[in-house]
Amino acid sequence: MSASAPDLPADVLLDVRDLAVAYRNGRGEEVRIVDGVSFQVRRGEAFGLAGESGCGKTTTALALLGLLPTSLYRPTGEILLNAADGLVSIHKRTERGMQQVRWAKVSMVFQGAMNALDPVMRVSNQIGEAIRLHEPGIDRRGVEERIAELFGYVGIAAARSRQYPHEFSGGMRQRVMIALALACKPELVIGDEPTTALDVMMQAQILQLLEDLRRDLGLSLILITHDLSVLAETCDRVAIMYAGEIAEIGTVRDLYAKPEHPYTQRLLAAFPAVGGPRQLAPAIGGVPPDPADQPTGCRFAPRCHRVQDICAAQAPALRALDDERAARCHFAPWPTGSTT
Amino acid sequence: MADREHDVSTTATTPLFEVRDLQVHFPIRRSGGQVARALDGVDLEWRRGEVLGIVGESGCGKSTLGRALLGLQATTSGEILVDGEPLEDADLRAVRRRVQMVFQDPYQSLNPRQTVGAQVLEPLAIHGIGARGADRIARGVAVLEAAGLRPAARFWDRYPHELSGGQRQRVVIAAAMALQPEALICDEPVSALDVSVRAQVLHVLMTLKRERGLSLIFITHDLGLAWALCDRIAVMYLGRMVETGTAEQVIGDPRHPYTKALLSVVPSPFPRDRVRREILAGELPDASRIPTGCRFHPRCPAAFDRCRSDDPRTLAAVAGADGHRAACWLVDG
Repeated sequence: MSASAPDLPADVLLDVRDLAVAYRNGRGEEVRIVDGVSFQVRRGEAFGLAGESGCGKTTTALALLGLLPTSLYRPTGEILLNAADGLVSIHKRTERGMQQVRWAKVSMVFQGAMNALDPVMRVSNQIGEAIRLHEPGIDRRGVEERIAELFGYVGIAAARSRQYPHEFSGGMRQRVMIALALACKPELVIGDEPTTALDVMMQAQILQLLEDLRRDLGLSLILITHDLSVLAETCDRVAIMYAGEIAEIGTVRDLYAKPEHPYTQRLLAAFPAVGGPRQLAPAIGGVPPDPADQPTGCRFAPRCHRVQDICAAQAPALRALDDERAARCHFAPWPTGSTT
Repeated sequence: MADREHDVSTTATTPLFEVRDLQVHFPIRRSGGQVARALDGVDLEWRRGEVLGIVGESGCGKSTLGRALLGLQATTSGEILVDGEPLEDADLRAVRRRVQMVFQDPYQSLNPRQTVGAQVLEPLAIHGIGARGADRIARGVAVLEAAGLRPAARFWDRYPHELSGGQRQRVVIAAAMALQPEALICDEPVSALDVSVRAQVLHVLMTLKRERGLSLIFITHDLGLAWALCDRIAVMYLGRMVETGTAEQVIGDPRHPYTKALLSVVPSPFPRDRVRREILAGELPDASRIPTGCRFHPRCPAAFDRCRSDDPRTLAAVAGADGHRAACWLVDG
């Protein structure tokens, strides 16, 4: 589509349209691991992306940052970022072009902070490098002031920026990662399982920090996790991914009150809630399909507890149920009281 | 063993394990004699047929406790009783046959160069159970299938790297079950697993418990899991239990400020259930610098003068709640 991408509404920061990510298998066939994914993230919003390992949620995030491994490509899709200084067509950017966007407009906090930080480099040098990359003219004093400001945001004494990554505990390293992600004043921060390796109290601290920063700095946030209860606490809207597609999307409030896709129903039940039923919910049997060998009908049909004849025969579309909600199930909306 | 007849009369009431004032200290290298007190006065009772949850943050000592119960961790002082008998006098080999351990990371327990079949046969060979050959193989097949690896023949000749994380954890459970133990100590058995696989593995464990009357310990930081699965829960903080009781008592009516704080930050999938979050600042203190007085007081929102000087050493009984105890000066005995 074009040099004249249609204007986005002012309140939309990110618009992902029909994104697919694929690789070529040994026989030269295209295998899609993300397939027809569309969603928008609004300005100042926290948006959740959830699903099992291999569902395509991290690959989607990497595509947004232009960080797909070279074995992968995008057969289709537009990724539009409605940045403060103009519209950016991420899907058209070369690696060189993405360097202007990555960290400065869209940045990421990874799961294992230790993998993202250079172990033999002082934290201050790593953050300083990121700052200089995007503000080449900045002097040493400016960098120091900026680092102190960033450490203030994430609640670490500025003096500790002289330390090495291994001198920080797991929770503190994750704070350092967040400081690094904020170094170039991005408008969108993507957190990929940012609290998964942490204990419950540390997780609460980090989630609270992200929430405070989002409010104070006017950030938008995409939070990727398999833990739906974490998303319930932090996000405004969520998309549930399954086998490379969005299975269901909606506001946290509606989607959790009445999940419409059987996969969402089981996923929600998989994390027993304190104060909820004192028993294990039924497990989702089996494993997700091999992307090279997707079922012909609904991709979830082989594992679905409510499967009918039509499900194996015909792939359901992601159908809008109201302004905010859509579900990829032939039978949505389910009658009230039947969503178990 | 000599008192076997005497034991029979008390078996019904003697806990499977009883721990009294257990201390495990680690010397800190080049510190001039300083120690880290990983366990610092643990009292605990694990009853027969019970699912006991040991809950706390990383570094609180919960895994050290699990290992100490099996004699896999040298203790500094205190007592561990198995069937009322001191662990140091017990035949450790026999104890480890009766009580098996399942760790978080299946790779920690599986030999990467052994096939699935060999992994489940090995414990049988070590303990000389069953006749070599067909008898042991039949036992191995049975435990693999009970752990949900069906048909076992499909998995028998595979190596750990050829399996998914969930399948590997099932092999670990099968190997642990091969000796027909009375009890399993599960140390974060599902926290490394993906969401749907996690539920599958938990179902396997709970089915084994139901069908074989296993006693279980779940060491976990997941309070939701503890609530769903455990009969009783012990909350641990910095080397000591701070609250114990039935799941209903500890989760439904928490008395220790630490338990209350933990519960308030557990993410809930039901936004309307959200209570005010009591996010504790800072991190778990270092086990080599356990605060004086109540060890929780520097992070406690309810601390007062006495907490800074006096250690609430014993768990005080919560009035009117049988078996519910908390180590806090605000709980009156």
